[in-house]
Amino acid sequence: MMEAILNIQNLYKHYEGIVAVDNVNFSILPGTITGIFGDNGAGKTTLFNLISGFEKIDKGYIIFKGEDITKKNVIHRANRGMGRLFQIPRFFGDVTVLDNLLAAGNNPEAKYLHNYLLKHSAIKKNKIADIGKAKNILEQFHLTDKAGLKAYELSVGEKKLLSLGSLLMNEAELLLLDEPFAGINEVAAQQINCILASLKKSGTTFLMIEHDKAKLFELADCIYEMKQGKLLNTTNTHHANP
Amino acid sequence: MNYIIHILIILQIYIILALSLNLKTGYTGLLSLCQAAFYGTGAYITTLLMVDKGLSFFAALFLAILINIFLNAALTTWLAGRLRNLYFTLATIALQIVFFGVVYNWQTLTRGPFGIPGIPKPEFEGLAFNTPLQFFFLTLFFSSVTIVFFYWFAKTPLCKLLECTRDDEVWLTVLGKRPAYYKFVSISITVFFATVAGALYATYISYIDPTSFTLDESILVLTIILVGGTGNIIGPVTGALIYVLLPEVLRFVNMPDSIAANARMIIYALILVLIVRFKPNGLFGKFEIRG
Repeated sequence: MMEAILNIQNLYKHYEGIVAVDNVNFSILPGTITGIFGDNGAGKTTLFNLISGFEKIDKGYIIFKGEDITKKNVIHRANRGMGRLFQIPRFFGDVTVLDNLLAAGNNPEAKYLHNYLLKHSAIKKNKIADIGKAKNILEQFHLTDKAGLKAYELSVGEKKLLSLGSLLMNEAELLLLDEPFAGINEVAAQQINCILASLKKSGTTFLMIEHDKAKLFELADCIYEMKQGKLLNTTNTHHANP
Repeated sequence: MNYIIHILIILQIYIILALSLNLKTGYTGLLSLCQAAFYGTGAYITTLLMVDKGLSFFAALFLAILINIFLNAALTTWLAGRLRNLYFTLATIALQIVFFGVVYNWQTLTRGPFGIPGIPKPEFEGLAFNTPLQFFFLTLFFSSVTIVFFYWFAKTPLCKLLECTRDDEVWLTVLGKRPAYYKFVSISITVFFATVAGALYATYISYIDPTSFTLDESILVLTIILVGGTGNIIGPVTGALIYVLLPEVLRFVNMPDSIAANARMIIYALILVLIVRFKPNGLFGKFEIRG
């Protein structure tokens, strides 16, 4: 049997008497899309914050790729292959689209100043590899002609794609997507739809919060409803309709 | 002739200071008002090592850079990790005031308000920089190295990561990078060059006291990059040209002594207001300074 990439066990979080996430259990298999929907205040974003390391959990465990990451910080989780796309896309606004992607790439030698003297060729080699990878992502996301623009000049949909591309540059294997279709037009939504389907085919795993149930049922392999901090029911979309 | 050389030496010291602040404030987005503390620490440590310990200029400068990074860069990075935006700026003002308080009151070490006179001129391999012209070439060497360094550094992936730190620290974290590390790199480079500027100033003037390194001086260096612009070489250099040369130009305007100083301050302020209103990026800036 295939091992789960993410395993959430008895996750619990409360704020001054209000239970935000109440004993949540679920697991995600690699190469699948898992969806979560629910009303505002149901605890979806808190759940994402706990999984991605932005908030500390009160009780429970998070196992990612076989490692207990419950007490690990955001950076550790990101470097293990967990990426998070925010509802309001995040990016480096005054930096070009291409440089946004390159900043997300993995060029470990480039972070140390002395390496520019000692390991100049390794830095150059990594940079060339990163540029190639970034250009592939730009092509896949139809952003090639925007590579030289500053990121703040992009449309909301393009900014979301840029964020997603940055996570892929960082070799994220599990992507937490917070409302990926919110605030964008139908054309951009269709584009993101296609990209998610194609990434899924290539083995990327997704956990997605989405208000648009139709979108969720169209894409997800497994859907949970969240209500008052609890995961209420599990629906396999292959057997159910919205 | 010596007057012009003097102006050029001071100009080059301010170019070094402005370019180093440009990295921290312009590229990395750490709006700070403690550049004079970095500069002053560099000046004092170099002076004390030369005067009290008898070290050569270059040995004293090397040690001063290390000590200044250990003291100021570490402390400022620690502050930058805990405080954001305006709160960080306020903390740097506090750092600047603490620095002034220490050098003013620690009289057994710094001789407080009396200052330290008789600072020897630099020497290298028997070559002394005693005359203004000789000293001019020394500052020209350091300012050229500074310009070449920042020109090169701006193109490195490391500098791009400093810009990303400025734009969105949270996103950088989500991408698995450590903003605190990049802030430390930026602040350390700033401290490095501010120390060089301090050492040059101390050995050129041959005398230092706490009044050369006050909050006013930090505000002046920040104003230089605000007016000239940040994110490139030309902006800070232009700002330094304006603020170092303008008082000298104004000397030739026949203004009564009683109003000259105040008029000069009004002109400075007017330039700043006009720039902030009509060119928020500064004259040649790539991006706006954020607080």
